[in-house]
Amino acid sequence: MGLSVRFLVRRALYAVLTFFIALLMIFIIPRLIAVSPVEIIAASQQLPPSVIKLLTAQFGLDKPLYIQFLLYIKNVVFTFPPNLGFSYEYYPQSVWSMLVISLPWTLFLVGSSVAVSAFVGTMAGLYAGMNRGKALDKLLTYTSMATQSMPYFWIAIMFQIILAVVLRLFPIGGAISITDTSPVMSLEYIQDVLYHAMLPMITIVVATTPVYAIIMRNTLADIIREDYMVAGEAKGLRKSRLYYKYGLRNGILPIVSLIAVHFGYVVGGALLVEIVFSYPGVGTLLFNAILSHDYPMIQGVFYILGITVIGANFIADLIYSYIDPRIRYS
Amino acid sequence: MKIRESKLERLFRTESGTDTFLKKLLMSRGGMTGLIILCALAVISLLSSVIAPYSPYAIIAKPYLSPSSVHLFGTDGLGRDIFSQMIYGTSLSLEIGFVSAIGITTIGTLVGIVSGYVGSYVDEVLMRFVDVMLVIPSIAFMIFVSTIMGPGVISVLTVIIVFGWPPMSRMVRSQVLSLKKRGFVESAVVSNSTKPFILFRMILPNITSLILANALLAVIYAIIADASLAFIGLASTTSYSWGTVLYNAQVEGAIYHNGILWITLPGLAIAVTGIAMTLLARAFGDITDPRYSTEGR
Repeated sequence: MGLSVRFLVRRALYAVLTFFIALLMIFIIPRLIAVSPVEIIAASQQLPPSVIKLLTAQFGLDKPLYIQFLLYIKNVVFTFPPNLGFSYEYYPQSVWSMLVISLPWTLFLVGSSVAVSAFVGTMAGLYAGMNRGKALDKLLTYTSMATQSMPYFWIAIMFQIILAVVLRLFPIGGAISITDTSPVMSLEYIQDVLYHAMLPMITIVVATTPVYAIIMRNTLADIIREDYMVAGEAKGLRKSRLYYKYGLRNGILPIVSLIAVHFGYVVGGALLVEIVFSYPGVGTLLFNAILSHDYPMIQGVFYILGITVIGANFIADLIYSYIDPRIRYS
Repeated sequence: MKIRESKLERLFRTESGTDTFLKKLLMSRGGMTGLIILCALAVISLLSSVIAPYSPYAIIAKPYLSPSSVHLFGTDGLGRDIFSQMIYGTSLSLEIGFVSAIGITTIGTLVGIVSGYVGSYVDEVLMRFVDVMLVIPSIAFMIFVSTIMGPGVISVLTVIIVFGWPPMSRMVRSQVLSLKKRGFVESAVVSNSTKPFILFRMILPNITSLILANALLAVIYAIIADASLAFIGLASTTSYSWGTVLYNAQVEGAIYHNGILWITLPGLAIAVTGIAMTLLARAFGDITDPRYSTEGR
């Protein structure tokens, strides 16, 4: 037993490499497109000259490019908390301090939605795969075609109009009620948070569940032809036992890797959904930063999303190797 | 039975090959539906200046008018005709969709073929890069790049193509890899055929339909990406795509000004286009996938 060390080291190296390339892109693209470097880090005109001087020194903005890059790496990787510069809109708040407040909301939203949609999607896909060509199977095919053809955030707007504005079942936006003064972690507070998170979550779940379901359904179509399934059927196993014990266990693997590959897409969509519901996560932070040309903040958001998504992919790799011995021992 | 075919006849035979392809496409219900929708959209965008009663920028009535016979979808917060904006939007959205799809398909196919056919370290480097691109949250990166490039059609096209090609290259590569091991390619390699011949005359024709099907899906990916960028205010403010209309509807508070149609229609237009593309892509796949084909090859 135990995870193969070689496998772990290789995946960790990939994660680090990916992160490094992402950093390189964050560093190089603004400089390629000729915005003055001080502006990128500090949105110069709006900051006091003393701060600009400080940042110029910290990020070496008057030095050659490679030194700038090394300093950048030092500031964002080897400093804790990472020095991502100052937000110009919320000055004197640093970019990092703003990110730390917003990120948990986004993670909460994306994490719980992905958990729900992966579970529901897997089960629906399994059922559709067991009954191919039946009503649910067809419904699934058409729903996935429809949801994949719609902008994510537009689905959010539709839910907002129908469920919040017309039916008044849920709040139109925000993460907690303005009137909510109950202490954090009290029952009322948690209820309030869940109540507000409901619409954004429903949107993400509706948009992503069909993806998982279709993958499960199609994987099952291949699994059915495997020898162990044929043997199980010949042995006279009940259909439900055959599918849940044999089919689901093997079909879950592509789902796990899909969650990883798909995670960046879900986070990206969640950003836009947050904007629709003015949910105080990273998406709304990004939106405001764009409106006010707050370059340091935009860079910071991208930095934190990069870490999150790459980290999630790495964790998915670990889970995958844990549940599939074939990978562990290869 | 004829023993020899003239060049002309051979040409005609391939002609009839495309003929049955078209026929099959028209016979499948999904393919037909997709084709009809696509044609309708094409007509709307070609004739946009004829169909639209007003310029999309012209302030021609009071702001926030409800839909009426004069202004089918009402007017926006400045008093501009939303119906006209939607019509002009069709044209720009489709242009962005198809131009991006061409770019994505070209780059994706090239990288995929090179990676799959050349193999070794070239493949390793290219695919590691693709891995990285696939992990990075593309919409966030698109936002990042286009804030720096500034809003506009060019920057939208650039970011959509730059972040759109990696999945395509993955797909092409895996196809090339499996074709490389097939008998007719291996025999060509053994019989000393040139590499360009094998690539462009043997491998490429066998994956064309798959590439086309994926190109159709790239169109809808690009239209949605454009709408997403527009939605956070990064599309051009001087030209209308469906995304721009949707952005205005959201920013100008359409929900509170009887603007249900205004905020619903752009998304619906995108969804209908997307469904048409998906149906067509599927019909393509069903016709050309040999597993479903009754004629043996």
